[in-house]
Amino acid sequence: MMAAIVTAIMIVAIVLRCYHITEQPLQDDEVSAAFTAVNYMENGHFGPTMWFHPNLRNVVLYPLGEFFGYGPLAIRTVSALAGILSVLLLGLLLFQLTGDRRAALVAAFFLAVEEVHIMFSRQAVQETWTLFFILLGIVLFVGYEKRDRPWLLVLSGLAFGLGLASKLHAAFPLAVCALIAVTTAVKERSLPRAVFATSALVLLPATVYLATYFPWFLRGYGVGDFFLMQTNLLKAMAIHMGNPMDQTIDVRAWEWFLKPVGYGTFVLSQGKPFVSIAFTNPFAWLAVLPSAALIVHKIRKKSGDAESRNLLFLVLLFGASYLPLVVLPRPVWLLSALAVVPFGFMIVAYVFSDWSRRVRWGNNILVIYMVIVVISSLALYPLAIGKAKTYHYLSDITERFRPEFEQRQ
Amino acid sequence: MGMDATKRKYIFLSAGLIAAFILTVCMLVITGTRSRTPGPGGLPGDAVVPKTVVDQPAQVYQHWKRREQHGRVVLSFSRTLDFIDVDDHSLIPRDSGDEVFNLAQAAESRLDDRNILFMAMRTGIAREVIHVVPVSVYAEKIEAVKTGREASIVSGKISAPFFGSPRWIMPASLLEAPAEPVLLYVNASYFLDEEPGALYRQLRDKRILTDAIVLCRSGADKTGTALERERFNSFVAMLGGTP
Repeated sequence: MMAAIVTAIMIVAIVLRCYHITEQPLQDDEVSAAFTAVNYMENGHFGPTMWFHPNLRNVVLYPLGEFFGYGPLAIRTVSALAGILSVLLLGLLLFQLTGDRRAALVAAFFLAVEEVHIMFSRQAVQETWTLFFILLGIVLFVGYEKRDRPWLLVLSGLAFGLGLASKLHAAFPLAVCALIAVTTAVKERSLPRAVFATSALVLLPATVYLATYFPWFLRGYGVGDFFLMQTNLLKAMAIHMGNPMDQTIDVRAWEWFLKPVGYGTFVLSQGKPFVSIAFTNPFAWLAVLPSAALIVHKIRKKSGDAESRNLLFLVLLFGASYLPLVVLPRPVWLLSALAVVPFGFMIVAYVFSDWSRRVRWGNNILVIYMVIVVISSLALYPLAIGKAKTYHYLSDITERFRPEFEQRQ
Repeated sequence: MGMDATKRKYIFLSAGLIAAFILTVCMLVITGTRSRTPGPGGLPGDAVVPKTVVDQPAQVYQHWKRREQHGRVVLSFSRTLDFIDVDDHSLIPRDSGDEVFNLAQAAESRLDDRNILFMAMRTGIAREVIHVVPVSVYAEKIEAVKTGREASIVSGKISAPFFGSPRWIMPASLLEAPAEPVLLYVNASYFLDEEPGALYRQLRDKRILTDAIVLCRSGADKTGTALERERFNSFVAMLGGTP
């Protein structure tokens, strides 16, 4: 039964992410991503797009593009694969932490039908890659903590390194895991274990991150140049206010779980506009903060036992990933939420699953809630596949993201 | 015994990971520094240093390219920065489809007298550019930095990185000798306000090593006063070249 449900969820994840993925025209960012990959691998030069982000996307897209061509299939495949596998990893992680099969299935299901995640799984951008490597890194880390198999921590460090090389957001959950690993070793008064934890979760991710800069080093740079470059990149990232065509609404991370927000892109293809909008599902997203508060309350009541420690770990992952974005003074677009909301979904799934067992008719209510989430996700689905203008009932959402210069006309 | 085996495993794996990190850093640094193409350097005015005189700034870039320069520090003396940006986005056709090409090569087709140093950095000839400008020009640039966001002032020098790579703007008084021979570029426009003898002495006193000097008779705006030309010719003669 469990295997059947997992299979069904994965089929849903695959279908929603792959349906007509090659027919959807490439976004400007995706075209630029292809050029950026060639630019980086052949010249060691950053840009033209997202130039201050790390370079794993370039390292992977270049051989794919050179071998299969830079069409939608080749450059979107990795994002789709990362998105699909993230669904599995999310469920697995929650099961590892809580042992609650129902919660794990609910969390995986949330991500499988989440329109924001679906939209970016269908684009050649690094956000879904980052999430995949973060989840993989945490799953392996939890495996190490539970079974004390050192190789699992090495693989975790490798995964986190690839996450860091995709986007620096991976640093936040990595820091949580590294802190826990080293603290555990210190409590055990085991210097070899502490050194190993530091090597696996600090040095190894740094090694992977550095290695992806090989084409840049070939421009003649040394170590000092690297640190100067990284400083300049971080400064540029800190003051990045977007491009003239970037949207100016929904650019505050603190709004993500308080109201529905979105991120719109459009492309002209064969004379027709294709508008894609990542729009948060209010039935899932707005439950995150209340659920987090309930979990914190539970942790305080039951502090010390294994369940509360695991829940604390989950809350720390969510907080460490979310709070830095909340306090950032520059615009933060919804893409960045992909490294945060899966932890939120795990929190919601755990709370709802736990509650459904305690309340009369709880199972039925949970099913009804899931049906509501599915219906709202399917209603939003055309936004993810470039069909925002095809369905009239989405016009209010679509018009909200019409660029300002068009609104003024 | 089990505990010892685990401890040994931790130590073995730690050693491996530390070695991997060190090896990676060494490989990157060695590969990077070996990709540079500096020749044996000398001081400006030394007979061993080759000198080339060209008419237009674009010929400076072409000279470096012919010599297959890569990963160099370029030291420029000019009134203008010669760093007009060619936006990569402007090179990407509207409906490029699956066709993807090398943007640096495409940018090179837009080489002109106003963007030679941009092009040098764009194509990998220069990994760092130091613009030395006359004091009057430096004063204008400093004012612009104070109102902008992307450049900053570090010990009096303007830091204006290009995609993260170092780029500096400064007057000659703040110039310090780079740790390696540079590609030295001197444009006649520099001498509108500056004396050739002063520049020559500064270069030698500061021990600026170079393995190639390129001197350009005209500025990016193609105008040039008789005073600039006279001082330029005088400077070329000091270096032992033929004006």
